[in-house]
Formats: sequence, C-alpha cells, structure tokens
Amino acid sequence: MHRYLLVDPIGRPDSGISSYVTNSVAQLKTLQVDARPFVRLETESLEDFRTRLARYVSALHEELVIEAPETGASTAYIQERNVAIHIRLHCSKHLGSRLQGLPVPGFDLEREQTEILRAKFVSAPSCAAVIGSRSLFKLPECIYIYPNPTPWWPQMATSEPGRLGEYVLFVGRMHTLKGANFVSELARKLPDIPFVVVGPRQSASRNVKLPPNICLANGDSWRKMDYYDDARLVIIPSIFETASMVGIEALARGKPVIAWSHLGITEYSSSVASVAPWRQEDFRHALVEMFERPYAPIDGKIFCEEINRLYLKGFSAIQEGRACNYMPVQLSNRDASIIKALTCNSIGGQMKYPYQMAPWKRKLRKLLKNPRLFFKDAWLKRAGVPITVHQLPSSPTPARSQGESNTTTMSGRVSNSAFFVQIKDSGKIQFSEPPAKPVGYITAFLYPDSRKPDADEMISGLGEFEDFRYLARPHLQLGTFPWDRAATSVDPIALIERIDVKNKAKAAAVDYFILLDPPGGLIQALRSCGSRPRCVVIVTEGDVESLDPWHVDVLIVVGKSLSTDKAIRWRRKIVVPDLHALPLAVRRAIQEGGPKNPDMLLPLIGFNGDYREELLAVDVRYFQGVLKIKEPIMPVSKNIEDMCTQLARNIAGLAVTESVYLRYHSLCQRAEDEEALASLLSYGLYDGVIFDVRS
Amino acid sequence: MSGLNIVHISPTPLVGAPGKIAIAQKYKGNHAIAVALSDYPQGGPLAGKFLANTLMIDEFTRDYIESSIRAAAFIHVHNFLPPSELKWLKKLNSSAVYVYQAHSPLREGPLYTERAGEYSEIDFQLKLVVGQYCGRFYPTFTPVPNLVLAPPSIKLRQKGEPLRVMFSPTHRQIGRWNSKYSKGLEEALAAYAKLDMVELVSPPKPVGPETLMELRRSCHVTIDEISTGAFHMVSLEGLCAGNVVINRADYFSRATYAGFCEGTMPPFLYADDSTIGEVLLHLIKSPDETARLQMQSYEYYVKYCNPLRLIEVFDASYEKKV
Repeated sequence: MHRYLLVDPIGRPDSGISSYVTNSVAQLKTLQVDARPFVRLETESLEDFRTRLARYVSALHEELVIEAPETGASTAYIQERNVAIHIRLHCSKHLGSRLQGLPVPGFDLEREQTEILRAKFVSAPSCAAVIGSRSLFKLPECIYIYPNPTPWWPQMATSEPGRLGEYVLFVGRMHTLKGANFVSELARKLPDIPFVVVGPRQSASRNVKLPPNICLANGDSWRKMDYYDDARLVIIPSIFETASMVGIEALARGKPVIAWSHLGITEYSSSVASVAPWRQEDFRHALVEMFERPYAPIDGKIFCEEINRLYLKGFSAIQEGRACNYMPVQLSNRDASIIKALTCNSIGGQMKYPYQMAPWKRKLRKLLKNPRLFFKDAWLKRAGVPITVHQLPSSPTPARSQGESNTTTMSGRVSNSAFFVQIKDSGKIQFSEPPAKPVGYITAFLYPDSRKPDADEMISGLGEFEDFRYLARPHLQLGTFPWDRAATSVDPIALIERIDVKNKAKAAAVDYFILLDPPGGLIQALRSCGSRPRCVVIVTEGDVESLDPWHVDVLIVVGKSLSTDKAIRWRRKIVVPDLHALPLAVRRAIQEGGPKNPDMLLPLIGFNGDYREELLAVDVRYFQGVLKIKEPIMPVSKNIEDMCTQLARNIAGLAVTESVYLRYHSLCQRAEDEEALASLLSYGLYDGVIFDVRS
Repeated sequence: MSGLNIVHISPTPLVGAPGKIAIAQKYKGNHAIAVALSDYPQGGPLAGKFLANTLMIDEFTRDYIESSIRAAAFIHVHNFLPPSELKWLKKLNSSAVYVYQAHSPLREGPLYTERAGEYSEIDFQLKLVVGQYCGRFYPTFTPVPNLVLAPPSIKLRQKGEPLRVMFSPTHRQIGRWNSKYSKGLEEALAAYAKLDMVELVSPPKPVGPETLMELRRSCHVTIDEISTGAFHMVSLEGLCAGNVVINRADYFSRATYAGFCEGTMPPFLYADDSTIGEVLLHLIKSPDETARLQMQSYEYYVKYCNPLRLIEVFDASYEKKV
C-alpha cells in the first residue's frame, strides 16, 4: 500500500474536516495503512498551504495517494504523475455561499472543478453530499459513497453534580447556514426547555437577542464532549450538511439527534429523528416529545463500530476500484429532490425557512406580492411540473440575478426600498445594514437626486460585467444625496455629526463609495466614517479644483485632461472620453484596489538585483513599503509634509507592495519626480501605509 | 517665554495631557490652567482618574474660568469643542491667539474628521498635533510632544531575577489606530507567565495613572501596543520608569518625536505580532541585556524628555504669534 496523505486545509480543531482527518488517520492505521495528516498552519494562507503541499509531495519522490476535500483546491499545484488524488466531497464552501445567496467567485470554483475532474478517485460522505455538489460541479460517474469515521468515547454514566443539567444542545457557529435563526426561534417558542449553544465565542456574541432559555457556552475552549454528556438531545437544523460531524459525535456519544431529513446525517443512522425540511412545527413537536419522554440513550458503541466498519469497507472499495454506496440508511427520493431544489441556481438567498409562516399566509402573501407568479405556480402544480422556488420581490435577501434582481427591474430602475442610504438636507443620516457576510468587496453607488437617468444608465452599465459581479445589483448598494457638485454649503463636520456611531459603523463596512458628481463635503464625510472606505469620485461636469485630493482615492474625469502639475495631487486618476466609458473605468478602479495575494514588493527606485534578498525578507503584513535613504538625515522637521519632502530628496531606493502601487498608481508612475514621491509618502502615511525606512 | 496667560480647554481631560502642559507652563512662569468641559463617562474605566491638573466647569469654578479666559493671551483648544462652546470662548475673548491641537487619529473616533475648521468665526493661528504618530493625519500641523511629569527612576534587572513586564491596555477598542489588541502578544505573555518566565503586571481593573506609574517603576519592561505602528504615552512613561519599552512604532512616529530630542530616536525595542515571542525570550534569557536597555531608556528620558525642556517646543510655537 502506498503512503496515504490526508489533507486538512482548515486546520482548526472545531472544523468538521479537521475532525474527519484525525479520525480517518486513526481508522486507517487499523488497516496498517501508512496514513498521515497534512494540516494547514494557523498562520498560513491557503495559497501558501497549496504551495507547501506541492513542495512536500514533490520532495517525497514516491508513489502516493492524497485525499483532500474539494473546498480550497489544496491539491492545485501538485503535478507529479506518481501521485493519485482522491477528492472527498465534504461540501465546498461555495456551496454554502450559494445556499445563502452569496456570490460564488468563478475562478475559485473553476479551480475546485479542475481538481475534481483530474482526481483519480472521488468519494462522498453521503448521497446528500453528491446531490448537493452536483449543483455546483460536474462530477464523474463513479463516486464512492461511504460514511465518515468516528472514534468511540465511553459515555459518562450519570450527570455529575454542578454540571449544567439536561438541555437541548446545539453545537456550531451561530450562522444562518447552521440554522441559528431557527434555534433562537425554537427556544423562544419553548421557554420551559433549556438550550445550550456551544460555538466559537465571537459568532455567539454576534447574536445579541437570544431568548433567556439559551445558554451560550464558549466553544473556543472546546470541551464539547462535556456538553454532549449532559445533553438530553442534540438538534441539527442546518440548511444543508453533507454529513455533520456534530451529529456523528452526538450519535457516537449515544445522544438522540433531531435533524432535517435532507441532511447527510440522516443517512448515518435510522435512530436520527428526521423532520421534513422547514416544518418547524413538526421539529418542535419532535423535540418536545423526545425531551419529555424518559431518556433512552442509543448505543454509541454499536453506531461507531458500524460506521467505522463501513468507512473501512468504502476505503477498500476504492483500492479495488468498484463503485459503492455504503451508507447505512438510504436517502429518500423526496429528500433528494429537496436538495436539488435547494441548491439549484435560481434559489440563492432563499435559505430562510420558507415554512416559518402558515401555508395559507404564505400563499396569500405570494398572491398579493406577485399574482402572476402565484397563478403560474398554481398552474404548474396542477400540471404536475416541479416548481422552482422563486424569490419574492420584497425579500431583503439579495438574489443571485441573471441581470435582474429583486430590487432592480429589467429597465434598471430601482425601487425606493433598495436604497442603502438616502441623504436629505437635514435630519439623521441612516444606512441600511450592509451584507452580513460579504464575499469580496462591498460597493455603494451614490448619486444626486437630480441625476437619476444618468445613474440608471450607470447602474445598468456596471451590472454588465458577468465576470465581476461586485458592481452589479444586488451586490452594489445604492444611495442618493440632494446636492449637486457646485453646492458649497455641504459642511463635512455637520454631515459627520448627523451620522451616529452605529451608522458610521455601517458606512465603514463599505469598501468603495462610488460617487457621481458629489460635493466635496460629502466625500470627506463618507470617507471619514472609517478607515476602510475608499472614495471613487466621478466628475462629469465642472472642474476638479474644489475637490480635496486627501479625500479622493480615485478620480475619474469625463472628457478632460488635467494639467500635468495638478496630476500629482491625485492618488489615482483616470480620464475617460465620455459617459459610456465610465463603467469600465469604475471597474478598473475597484479591481485595481482589490486585495493582492501574495502581495509582492515592487521596486520603484533603486533595489537592483543585489538587493533582492533584502526585499524578500520583508514581511508585507507589517511593512507595505521599503525606503532606503542615501544618508542618515536629522529627522528634525517642521511637520510631516516637510519630513516627506526631505526624504524624497534623499531616496536611494523605494519599493512598495503591489497593492500600494495600484492604489497610488498615478503617483508611482511618476516616481522619478521628487514632488510626486513626497506626495506618495504623505498620502501613504495618511492612509496608514507603514514604510520600513533604512539608511 | 514667561508671564503669559494661557487657557487650555478640551472636551474631556484627554488622559491628563492638557493639564500636564499647563503645569509645565506654570513652572516656566506663565499663568496657565487646563479646563475640561466634562469628565469621562460615569462608570467608565477612565472616569475620575485624570482630573489631577484639570479644572471641570461647574458652578463653583465657572467665574474663575471665565475670568481666566477673558485675560488669556493664548486659548489652546485640544481635539475639538462643539461650536456652541467655541462661540462662548469667542464671546469671552476675541483678541486672544487661538491655538488648536489634535490628539487623535482621523477616520475613527472620537474625531473622525479634522476639526480645526469646526467654527468658521475662530481662526486658529497655530495648528499643533501630538508628535508621535498623529502627525501623518495632519501633515501641515506642527508636532508638539506629550509630557510626562513624573520624576525618572530606574530599577535595573539583577541576575537571576525574573523579567517583570507591564502591559496595561486601557481599552480593547478596534480601529486602524485605536486598536491595542494583538493576538501574538497575548499568547506570548500568557505562555511565558504560565511557565514562570515573566512576572506579568497587568491591572485586572482600571487604576489611576499614579498607581500605574509606581508599579511601572518596579518593572523591567513596558509593552505598549504592537498592532498599529504607533506609540503612545505609555511608551514615554516606560522610558521615565527606566523600562525597556517595546512597541511597533514606525520610522515616522519615532522620527517625529526625535525632532524634539535633537534628532535622537527614542530607544524603543521593535516587535510585531510575529516577533514578540522572540523579543521577550531574548530579554528573559539575558538580564544583562535587559539592564543595558533599561539604562538606555532612562538616560534618554533624563537627557531629552524633561518636561521643562520639552515645554520649550510649545514656547517656540507660541513665540511666533506673540
């Protein structure tokens, strides 16, 4: 048997994949397989991990089987022919994103797809995993389906005094994907039953409005086995799970489990009480019944032995090359259809328990909100055609659109409820909640009330980049303001005072404010809400003299070229010939400013070949620029501006990271110019760039 | 420069900074007072702890403060005042030289944006900024030093003595420049403390600056924050107490302060999240090296950071406007 490497690209003890790797190594040792884990380090980026893995494999020079999850495409850089790749479909994080209606980065997805297609073996921990993954990936015909293993822990016989007592246990992040909303709802409706939620401290503290019968236990210290012991039962209300390590651990510990019937865990044991998805009432009844009847633990040892046996059987089937399905319980056709419906393209963002309201209420709401859809679906149902779940127009959750979304009509017009902020002449300025878990950038486009036709055209243009959805609705937040560029009465301090701390935090979550012909005071106020937002300012009319360059990250000017001496005032300046070219210019501005990984140092001045070692040793997390000065200067200056001017005259070498280079593109391009260099240093310092200054 | 009437006024005591400037100016023969509009919020960690050299406006003090403002040649506004208070100042004294001094970074609380132009009827003739890291946000403002009034002292680490380290963050706010939290530092300190390799001095609840200073004098190392690239008053207090001062201050933060110290950079020990464990271990292993660095800190403070010497930086700025 070749060496067997189990790759763990998560590297956190609370992660299901990490537990799987640990348990698998232990089980495979019983077959005398030389199985070893390869774990991502806490401080390591995924890219570094991929590289390290490839280097490790390359250095081994021996026949090897590498088992890795599809998520993260850890095996992407492995090219050796003597290595067989085994991809186990643990559920790509992109599937989680899709289920929540979040965008899925195409490039990452392609990488994972490539790894699946070139893998010699593809396996899955349940049929649910295969069906779910199929919505995202093209899978091979032959898939080996067998359960995840688990160790067996002898169960505590009785509760010890001083422990928490009997309760319903939920283990996991307080996250929508894990059904956290439903847990709160459940606890609220069952005030006499104590609930314990064990999860990472941060994710738990985010959810502040928990009912009093929920006790939050800090999962960071990770003594979850203790919590299992005293739990009466464990609930798994996740939107989707390929297996659920929590469920497996609970069963191994002899604890009854209640879960939605489409989750992978229901294929592990017939003792899992499964409830049809989103039937909250049924879930509640099952929970109450199980809680009230005399406690009857299941035999964890038998469960462990059985699934470990099936795991090893599945592993052997792979070696023999015969397809298998060794799940103890078979997934029903109904649940398979449900998984397909959940993960189909048109349903992104729908994962909010549609059965929360009574069916008649739901239907009435649907009739009132979208009568056409109501009658169409009714007709389809009568005709026996399966219905795709549609998103209702008023839902606040963004839909993954095909050029159309819940808030933007086909013509590109925007309904009032869709605005991120609507600034008026007076009164408090309030921002709506930005997306809870943004992937990539949060962008907000703000325009004057009087420029709606131009803005509509712009929104429509920004939405046309199929490969760059950060500028498309609903990802793009919208806002309006009442002033035109000439308005001089817009006082930034007065505006800042109109935004309370809570709303400042919401504005500060935005990565890019794209502002169409804004007054200077508004730019300053928005940019001052936090250190994160950058302002992309579009000027279509008037001059730019009234703008303060300190508050403008990217200036896009339509149809006019700025004189050379003024050009060094701007961090990044783009000139476009007409309004039609604006969307592409905005995209450039935002794509340039995106995170770079790895972020390499780019020499602008000096640093010839001899100095390369010097640059490679710089940790760009702490220094985003390296500045070599010709001779030590007395750092006695009038002020920072003066200090930057002095340094600019004395520069022997300057290197900045690629992200800094692109952020200050217009200045870096003129790096030979002393004045531009001084501006680069001043702007960099103002924006928080840290330079390593060496003499 | 002496014989001037000066009023410092700030929204809160600003951890005693304006009060210390006023005291040093008094030593120079000026009549200077520091006034705060209100104390830190009741029940908060800083409430009541920085009032030693600062007058609060109440019924008892109002007349005295107003007469001082009327007589002032310099009215020195710290951080920001609401427009109503600036109007009140202007009404009491329109002929004084108005000075503005920034103490906080921009794009985060409490200032968010530059406030020197808050009230258009007051033209600040001098714009100053605390000369540590804040200068980068106010590139044209004149840097001025923070002062430590406590007398310097040193307690050198002896052979065989465990390393005594003070780490006393006042808050756990987040922000690009307001953050004090560093995971690597917390882990390193917890690990070394558990192994009895360091004696960690970290007040379990907020204590007054005097208590903290006395405890600092018994330590060998002061750790400021290592997450932002700045350094704070804690670093200067560490120098005063003859401690090895660890922070992540960048060149510009140190060079600005060196501007007050004949161009000599403060002897801080650089550490970031990835190197703090190593830096501490180096000190733990070497009492001699610790003592040498302690001595460097002490000598630097004695030579350059005497408040009566540093107050001349303010004098030089004022002088231009007399």
